[in-house]
Amino acid sequence: MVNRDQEYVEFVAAASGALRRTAYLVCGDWHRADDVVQDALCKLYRSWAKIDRDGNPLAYARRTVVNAALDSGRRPWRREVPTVDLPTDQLWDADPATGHAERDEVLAALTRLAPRQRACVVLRYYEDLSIEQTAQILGCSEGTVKSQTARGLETLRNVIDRAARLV
Amino acid sequence: MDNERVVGVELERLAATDPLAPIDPQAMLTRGRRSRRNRRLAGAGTSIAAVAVVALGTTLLPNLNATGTDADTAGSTADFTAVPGIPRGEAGTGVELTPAEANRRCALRYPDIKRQLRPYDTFRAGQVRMYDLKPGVDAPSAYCIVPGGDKPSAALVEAARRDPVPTKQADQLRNCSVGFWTDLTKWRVLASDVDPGKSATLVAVSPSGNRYAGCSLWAKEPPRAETRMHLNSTIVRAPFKAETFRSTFNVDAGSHRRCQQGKCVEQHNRIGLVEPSVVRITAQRIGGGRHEVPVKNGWFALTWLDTKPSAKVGGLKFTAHHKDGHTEVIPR
Repeated sequence: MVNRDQEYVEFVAAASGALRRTAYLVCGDWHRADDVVQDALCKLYRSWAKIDRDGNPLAYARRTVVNAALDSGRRPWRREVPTVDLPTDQLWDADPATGHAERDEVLAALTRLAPRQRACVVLRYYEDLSIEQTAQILGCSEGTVKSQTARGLETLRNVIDRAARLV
Repeated sequence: MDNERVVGVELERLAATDPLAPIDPQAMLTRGRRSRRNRRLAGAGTSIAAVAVVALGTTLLPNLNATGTDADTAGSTADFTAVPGIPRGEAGTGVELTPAEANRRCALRYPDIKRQLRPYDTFRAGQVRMYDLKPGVDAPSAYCIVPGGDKPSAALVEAARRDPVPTKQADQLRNCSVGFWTDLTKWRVLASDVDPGKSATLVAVSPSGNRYAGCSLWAKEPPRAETRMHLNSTIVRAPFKAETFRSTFNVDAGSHRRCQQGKCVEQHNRIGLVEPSVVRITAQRIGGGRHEVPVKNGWFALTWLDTKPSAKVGGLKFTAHHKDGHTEVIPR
């Protein structure tokens, strides 16, 4: 039991930062990401004996975190309400002179993606997961992952290119 | 492919802005224990009803007890076969071994070498160890990459031989798998760098997070039979030892110069975990070439063959660029 707890502590120390960053990219809010990851790690502890024996706690934690981060945006009291709804072609009238501003626009574009598109892009290009792994985490077909990723990628790339042209 | 890279870099930048304090593992342990205790108490009160529901569910759904396999579980593939007496996958590597077990593993891997390993203080699977030299015997020095439990297929070995310094991370992991005799193909790359056609280096974490691999692939040397994995490559158990940029780059390790017919080159090869405030690291020859790598959550990998190094050793500086804009420079 002590060894098992020690392994859990080591796992949390090693993986919690990365899980929180993934959750943030999916849900767009650091504090919500922190809640999501802590809830997931708590669930993980309850099943630690079985998961650790099966050999892949990170995969379990990642799947729980991503789905919880997606779900957190669906809860009515946390649903995102866009406060500014500018047409895309006006977004770039603001001063884009700094890299920081450019990155904020990328973040804005990321949060405007449909949740599943966002999750696909994050899992594929931030987590470097395969199409098959992404499909298993999100519980959808590989074809869905491909199409959602392609759309999300195109949207983000357009935003990044436009920012780069204006800098 | 370029779109993917650009978006990946942007996502990494966004993720690197984490303003929160790290999650306290001990606090999580306490919370997890409390949660489990509460759940058990709650579960005891409803156990009779639960038994009835489970029994009914089992009757109606015969496959209820079937467990699916985890997508990320590193399993054996046709590219690897088991090695007698060595656990498969990450369980078979990164662990400390007795000298007898290290010699047994090396004998399995290199049956033509009849010597024992040198008497090191420690032996670990996934580590390079030198064979003992017999005084008076004209035998060349030889090394053993202490193998894990996944022997690569001949096709995999051949693929690694054909492309010793791949540009794709998946292929780099393949070559490192060949070197370590451990299936790293499902490990997650934390940082990698490639100098096309010359060298590649990466650090990767196992699916469970319990092992880390540092692997360097060189095009020209050392010419090992199965792979051109450099001898500083290794697999270690978690946690990976974090350093500061200063302590990592202050030591004269990971760089070496070789000269032939008056022409010198310097190979710089580093991986590691530095403070998370560092966002990129630059290696620059004073008055000459420059190579820069990103740092993601403290993880970095750097490989650079400087083909026109300074005439004397010491003409190189490493710079850490921090999130807040300040830099640290280490002249060497």
